[in-house]
Amino acid sequence: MLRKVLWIAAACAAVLAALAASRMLGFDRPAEPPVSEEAAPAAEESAAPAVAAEPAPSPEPPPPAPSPTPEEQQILDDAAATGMTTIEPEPDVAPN
Amino acid sequence: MGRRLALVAAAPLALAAPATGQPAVQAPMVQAPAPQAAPPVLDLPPPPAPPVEIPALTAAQAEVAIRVLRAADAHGLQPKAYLPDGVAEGADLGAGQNLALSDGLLRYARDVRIGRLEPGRFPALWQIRPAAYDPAPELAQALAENRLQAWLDALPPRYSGYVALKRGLARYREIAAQGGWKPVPEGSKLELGSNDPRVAVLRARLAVEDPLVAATGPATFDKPLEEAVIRAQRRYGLKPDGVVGPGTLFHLNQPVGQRVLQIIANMERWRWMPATMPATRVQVNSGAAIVTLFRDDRPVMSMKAVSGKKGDETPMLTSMIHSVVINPPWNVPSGIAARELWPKERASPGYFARNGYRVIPVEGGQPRLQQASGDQSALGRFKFDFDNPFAVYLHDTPSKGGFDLYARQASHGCVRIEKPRALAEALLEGNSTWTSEGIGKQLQGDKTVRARMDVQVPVYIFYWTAFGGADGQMQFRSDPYGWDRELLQRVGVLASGAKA
Repeated sequence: MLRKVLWIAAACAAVLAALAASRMLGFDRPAEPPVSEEAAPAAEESAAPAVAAEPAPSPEPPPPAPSPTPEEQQILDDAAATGMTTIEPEPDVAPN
Repeated sequence: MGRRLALVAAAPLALAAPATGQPAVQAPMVQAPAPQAAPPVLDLPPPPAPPVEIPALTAAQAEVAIRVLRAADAHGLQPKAYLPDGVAEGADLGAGQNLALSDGLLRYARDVRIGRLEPGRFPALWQIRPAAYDPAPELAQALAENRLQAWLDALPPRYSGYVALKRGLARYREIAAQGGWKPVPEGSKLELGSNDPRVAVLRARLAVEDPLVAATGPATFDKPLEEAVIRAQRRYGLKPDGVVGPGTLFHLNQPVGQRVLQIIANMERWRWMPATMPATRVQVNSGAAIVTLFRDDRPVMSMKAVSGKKGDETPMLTSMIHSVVINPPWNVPSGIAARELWPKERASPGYFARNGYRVIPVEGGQPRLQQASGDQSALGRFKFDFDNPFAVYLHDTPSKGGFDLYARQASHGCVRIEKPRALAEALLEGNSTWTSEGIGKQLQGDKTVRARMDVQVPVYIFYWTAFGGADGQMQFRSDPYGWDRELLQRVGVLASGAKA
């Protein structure tokens, strides 16, 4: 009987020791996601302005249209010479 | 290649405002057979439209009317032709004055919309003509709906070309009001490095039109002045060499009043245009000898041209290009054969054989001349066919040197073009037979073939001598046919015999 009790006590001690060792090594933590090189900041972090005092920058104007090549410019010049047939927008006029 | 003047009395190609975006070329009327059961119908002309009752103008409408008619000169029109005597803004109008003001509005509306040239006074070669227009119903409606100003504003052409001329008219009138420009005295040519008292006059003259030039500067013809001369030469369609010779001086010394008249003449022509243009079209300016292809309403290709010379003017017309003839023979018009070719054969027997002509006997008539297709054909390798009463067309030429000239009015009325193959490929795009390779293969021989286009493309031949350039500056050409003067005389701006 005593022998049985000793066996059980030894088994429990072994289980407890194994549990303690696994905790120390961190086997019970969930697996970490792979770390990307540019991890997005947390929502709270990104919502906070870097410098609170500075206003948000105004949207940049669209880049100017590229100037036409000499060949395109020649076509535009020639089109003007043969009659600029694009339609001008209608003026807005109040009733009278 | 040549015009058949015998057909000049053919029906005009009236240009209506097409709802479809296609030019309304007057088509032959095909009368459907009447059903047998139908009663006989008298072939009477349609009854005239009932007269439109135009309501009296309110005080506010009269103000608008007077203001607009007073400003008619902004469109190159004369306010006194529309504004009744004794009518002033703010004054009470009697019934007679109110009626006279309505009449003035009707005359103005017609003139600013379709021009002052009466339909019966169009010369045969001016086949681009406005559709008939009666402003009375529109005026009545505009007054009833109290939108007179909007209606009046919508009357002039809305094309950018017209708007640019209107702006140019204001500018050149302003120049005239400030005294115009002093002519540069004639003398030896002025060029880079010239030391001449005329350099100062030249500088001042250029500064009037060119905002990049200062009116005063060094007495020596320097680099900036040379660049200004080149810009001016481009504005006048001259060789841009920076050297002021007799040709450049001639254009520089045209009085400002002449430029104003030139603008007015061209504004008048814009009123003959349809309200809209088809998105794909070929536009030709015979006055500047330039051709442009528009696709989706954008210019996508342009080239130099050679148009008809004085006496063989290229007519103003519109039609539809329906086919491209590859390796065309030239059926010589009888007039050109008699005037130009038979004398050469008589003076130098064998001329016909050497140049690929053959004489085709005609039973009971004069023999015809035909030049075989091939490299020496006067039509080159391409001919672009469109129906018209003058037998003119666009075509290639073996004489490419003509495109190097700056005054390119040298043909018998047809339009020679600089890049015929590029135009042919563009017009035949999508045709499974006439691909670039197919055309190239055909060009390896001299066999004539007609490539019918899947979709016909409208062609417009205009005559512009004043226009706003792509940079906004006014450009002028030298009225090679004298049609500016003729138009201004026909509409009463110039007295008969006066110079434009």
